[in-house]
Amino acid sequence: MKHLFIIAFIVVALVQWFIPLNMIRRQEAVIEKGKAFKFLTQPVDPIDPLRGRYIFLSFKADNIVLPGRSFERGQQVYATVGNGADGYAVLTGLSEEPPATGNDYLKVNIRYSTYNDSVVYVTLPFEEFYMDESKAPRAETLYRASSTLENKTTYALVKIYRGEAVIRDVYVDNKPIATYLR
Amino acid sequence: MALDKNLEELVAANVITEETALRISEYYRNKAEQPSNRFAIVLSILGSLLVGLGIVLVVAHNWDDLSPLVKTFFAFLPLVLGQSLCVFTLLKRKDSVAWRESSAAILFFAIAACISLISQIYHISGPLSGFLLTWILLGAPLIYVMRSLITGLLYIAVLTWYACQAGYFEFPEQFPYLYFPLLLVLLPAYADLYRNRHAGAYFGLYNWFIAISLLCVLGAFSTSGNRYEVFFAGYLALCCIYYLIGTNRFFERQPRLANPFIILGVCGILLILYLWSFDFLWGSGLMGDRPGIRFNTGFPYIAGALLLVSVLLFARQLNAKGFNNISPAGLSAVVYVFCVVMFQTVISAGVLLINAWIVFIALYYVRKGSIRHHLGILNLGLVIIALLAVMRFFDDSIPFVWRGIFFLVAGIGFFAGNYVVIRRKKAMALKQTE
Repeated sequence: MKHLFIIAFIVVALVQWFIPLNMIRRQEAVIEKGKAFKFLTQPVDPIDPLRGRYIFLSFKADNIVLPGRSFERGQQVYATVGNGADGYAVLTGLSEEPPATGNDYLKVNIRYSTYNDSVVYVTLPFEEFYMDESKAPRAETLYRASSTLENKTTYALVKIYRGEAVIRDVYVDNKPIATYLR
Repeated sequence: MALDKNLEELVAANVITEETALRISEYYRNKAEQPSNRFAIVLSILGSLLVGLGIVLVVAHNWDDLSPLVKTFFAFLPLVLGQSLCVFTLLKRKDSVAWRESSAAILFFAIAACISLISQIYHISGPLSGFLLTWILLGAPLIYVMRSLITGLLYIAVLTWYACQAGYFEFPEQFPYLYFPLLLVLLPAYADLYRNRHAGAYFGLYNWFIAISLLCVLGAFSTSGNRYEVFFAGYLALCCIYYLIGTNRFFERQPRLANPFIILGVCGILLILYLWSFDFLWGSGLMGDRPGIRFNTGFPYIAGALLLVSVLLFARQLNAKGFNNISPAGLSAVVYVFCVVMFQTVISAGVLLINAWIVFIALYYVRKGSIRHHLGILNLGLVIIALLAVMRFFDDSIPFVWRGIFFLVAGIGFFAGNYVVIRRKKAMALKQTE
């Protein structure tokens, strides 16, 4: 009986290791193989009771003009990503199945479409950038001041690989936000 | 440990049978959990809960200055500590409730700390409900492997959080259907408490946690656009089920505090009936200008199932206790649904019937209290009438004279009812002394 509990616990403990390690493996694969894109942002800072304080990023490239296409709210789709004329990321297409060619696409959820269904808004899977709890509120204040008074560019550098994405850093005026706050 | 060895020796020498050895072992295990140890168990559980929460909060600070590798090391450190404590407990202290409960509780929180720190390192976005779901799935086996009842309570708390988060606060709106199968995970632990340890504190705590959890989560299956008549019908049916469970023979014998079903059931039933004793909620019902019931959501089916269960439980109790001994409160959901469906266009008749039903429930308790010479039950009935009178005081559609008479009758009822019961009690006490 005693051995049974020990064996059962070992199995449970291994699963408890496997899940977080698998989370790391998936993120590392994106960092290693993914292509980097710059997404223009507009941050605010909310709080998660367990994961701490983060900057919530809303992106300018969270929509795409697709006349005649209709999607359900909350539907999961695949968005291909490319670079616009200004060098910042834009969504270039939406499909219900993963694209057969290319690795630069994201798994996203449909947020809503405009009245005539021509502009489709999506939720990008990298809206949270976790920061030191003392820095996150300052980051938001700084962002608001810089974007309204000084008009500084803020963007997130994101690695994308086959549907998955890992946010590497947020930049204010081309400096990492943590450096900028020092 | 020494006892187990001695018992093995006695079994090997055919002095006692294996069954007797098991019973002796069980006896000493239960004895170890007697009051002398309870204080130590409570303290160790509280300590481990505080340590666990402390780890989660320290991790939530987000240590920006540490490198990802160092952060990953610290992510797994609490997990290693928690797992080591559990292994030590299983090998050396498997009969100590305090060790089992504390080490399992610490590991339960360590899991949360580990996955939250990895989420921070890689800025993994996603709904909080997904995080909570991963946490409870990884923590659930500890209830059985570590035989930890406190982990079961933590499991219910986090499961409730998950269901509320997914159902109330997240977009896109989703119904946390996983809640029900995940709640069933606790069934073996609960069944064991019900059969073998229903006199203990854990049984009462499990009842409270489960009852409150279901009340919190039920609304998560409704949508904002749905008809609130269906919403109230679901909640009223759940409260009726609670009430009928709380008043069955098994739970009636339990101490009041270990029986949340009767407390939550009565309070819930009366609250909803009082709300519908006003006419403001009746304005736009089934036949009104609002759209029909949305059957594409789960709530109408859940409400229907709950209503059916409440009727079946009522019929069973009616069969067991007889017509004179069953409270009409358990049938309130059926009466409510009948009123809402039948009197949608004649609102005043519906309101009147709900008020009459509340008076009927109150009179049942007054009668029961006076027959049993039980002042508590008698006054419950009178309080129900008095509260109804207070609510009607604000109802300007009833003439002052009628409201005044209602108040007078309620007031006289208080005096007369208590006076009669106290006199009868005194007379009985006198008879007994003679």
